[in-house]
Amino acid sequence: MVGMVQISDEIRLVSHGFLSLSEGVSLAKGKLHEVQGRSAKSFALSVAARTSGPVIWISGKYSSDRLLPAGLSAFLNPGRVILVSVLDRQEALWSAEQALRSPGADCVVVELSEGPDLRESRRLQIAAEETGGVALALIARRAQTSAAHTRWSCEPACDVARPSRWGLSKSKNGQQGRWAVAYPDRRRGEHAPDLVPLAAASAA
Amino acid sequence: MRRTLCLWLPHLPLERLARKGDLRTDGPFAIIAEEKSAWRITHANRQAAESGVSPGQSLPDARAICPALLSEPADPVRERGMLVTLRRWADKLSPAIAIDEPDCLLLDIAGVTHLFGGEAEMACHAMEALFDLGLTARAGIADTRRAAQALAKYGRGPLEIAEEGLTITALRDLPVDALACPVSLIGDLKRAGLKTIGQLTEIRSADLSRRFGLEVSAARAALSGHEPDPVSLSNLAPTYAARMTLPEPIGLVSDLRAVLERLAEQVCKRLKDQSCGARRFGLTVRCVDTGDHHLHVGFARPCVEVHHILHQFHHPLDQLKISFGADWFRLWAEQVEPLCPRQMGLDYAGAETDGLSQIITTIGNRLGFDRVHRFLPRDAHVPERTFACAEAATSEPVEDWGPSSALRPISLCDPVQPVSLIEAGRPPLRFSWRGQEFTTHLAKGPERFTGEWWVAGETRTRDYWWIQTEEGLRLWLMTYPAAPEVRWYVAGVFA
Repeated sequence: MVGMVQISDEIRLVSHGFLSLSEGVSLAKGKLHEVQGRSAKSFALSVAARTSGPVIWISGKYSSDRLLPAGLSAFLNPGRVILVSVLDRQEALWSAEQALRSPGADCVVVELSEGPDLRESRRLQIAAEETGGVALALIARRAQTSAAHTRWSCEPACDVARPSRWGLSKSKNGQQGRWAVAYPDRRRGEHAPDLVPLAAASAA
Repeated sequence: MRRTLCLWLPHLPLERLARKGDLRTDGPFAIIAEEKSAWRITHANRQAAESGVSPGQSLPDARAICPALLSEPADPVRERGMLVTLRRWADKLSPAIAIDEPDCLLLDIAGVTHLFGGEAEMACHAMEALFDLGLTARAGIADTRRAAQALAKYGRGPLEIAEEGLTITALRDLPVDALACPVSLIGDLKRAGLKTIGQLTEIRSADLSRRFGLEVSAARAALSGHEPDPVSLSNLAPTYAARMTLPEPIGLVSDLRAVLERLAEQVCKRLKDQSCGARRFGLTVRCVDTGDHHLHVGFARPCVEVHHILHQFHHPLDQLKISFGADWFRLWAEQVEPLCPRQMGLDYAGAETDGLSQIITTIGNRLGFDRVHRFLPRDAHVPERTFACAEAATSEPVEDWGPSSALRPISLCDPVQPVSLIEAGRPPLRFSWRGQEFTTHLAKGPERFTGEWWVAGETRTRDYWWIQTEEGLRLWLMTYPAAPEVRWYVAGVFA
């Protein structure tokens, strides 16, 4: 019978709202988002700056690039960041899932070399849905087919006013676009990035 | 009137070893300790004493007298542990007990002696019970602490009692050593011809103080009860532990969890009653075939919640290999700290930190607490030393960390990575790094740092440049201006 679908508790979709990045551009909470490109860290920090709770940052123990609090402080209070050093991909994914399942973390950032596959991303996605935290997977190399809600590619640009280009290469709700971005700067009292759509800019 | 029973265990260190089944104690045997830069005998057993070994002798002398002598260094920690155990045992005699190190128990027996049929009967009962435990005891009962001790240590028989109010009379024949004064003072008294307490009591207090100092007259007053000589009762430190013995071994994970839950309920209730929480819990599982297995979990905050303990033990219990089952369990709390319950704010701010400590606990127990860090500011100007990474479980976050006034990269390359120059310049016009060529578009700098000579490590002067490359990437380039050969390094990435 059409129109009489019983919705069980298990498949009920809970919306946790959105995290507004800029006017008209937002990021769904309680979802997994993939970020690629050399400005992925800045993207993650811009998103984290929009949240208020602790930020769990999971990265490789022997990674040669370490976060510098003095640099982070332009985006957010470095005291909010909890660093987790992991030895391998399995630990990274496990830690991300555990962090997402607890109500304490608003934003969980996990650095991965290869993107999560369908199974891994689904697990992260379910964990994120439980508490409504934002899960960000920073992918250094290749992304795989995944259940992530969106995939962003962020590259730096030779542009002093708007030093980054963010593109939405995949989105489950059909949003597409490319933006020129000015990072938020706490020194100037800004807590949100300033996004200008590139298509509109070229049309104007 | 207060009555004090002193139980003195003169051979405690020897008997501790004998109780353990040490076969050396069958022959001549002595406990030694390092004293005045020589090993000296502190306790000698009967065989050794018969051969002429006495406390105070140096070990080589004693060996010369008795070549068969075997010895063992004293172990004050274990001896104290034994005394603490005996103090718990003595709970059956009196409710008020003090430990007098190294080898005395002091019991306040006022009002309890009738339960044993009298003072002498009570002391005999205690000494017999100690004898059954393999311990020799001497007892003294008097009105004051010092008098009871003096009677136990210097009395003729194993049990000496000073009747109520007749302390000095009972002590009359004891040597002046019973005053428990420094050895030099006792020597002075003896040289003056004062051998017993009785002789001492005949002298006026003022004369005694003038000749030997206030210490002797004060000790005499304390002995006779004219001056207070309080006994500080020792309360046992509460132990937060529970154990369970099962008639049949169990092996199913669900059964183990049920056991753990019951144990955790007991321990947590005890902790809650004291408004304490523990940062660490240990669980011993005794398997019937493979013996004891010790599991530990830590917490980022003092914990008293049963379900948190169960949650953290979930993984270690899963990893435990039990083939024939386990039948003995013990859960104990370590690092007990007072709980600071916080009012949960209207905006649930408290719930957030609860959640965070839960994350730190969960990840820390699996990966190790040294893998979960948080940044703390440090007062230094060299970029890689402006912050410290502290273990998140044991540190508190910094409330407000204002933005840095200088331009700093978000990631720092550590160690710095050399670039290969294509077109030199200051900063280089073209260079390649990580397999990619870059052309400098804009540059800001130099920002010069002098090394911190007071710390070990890199102390050379460094120049830093902010570079906007035409490829887009913003880099933090570094060079050593004083180096004879100009080399450039990437110190950080702005991206």
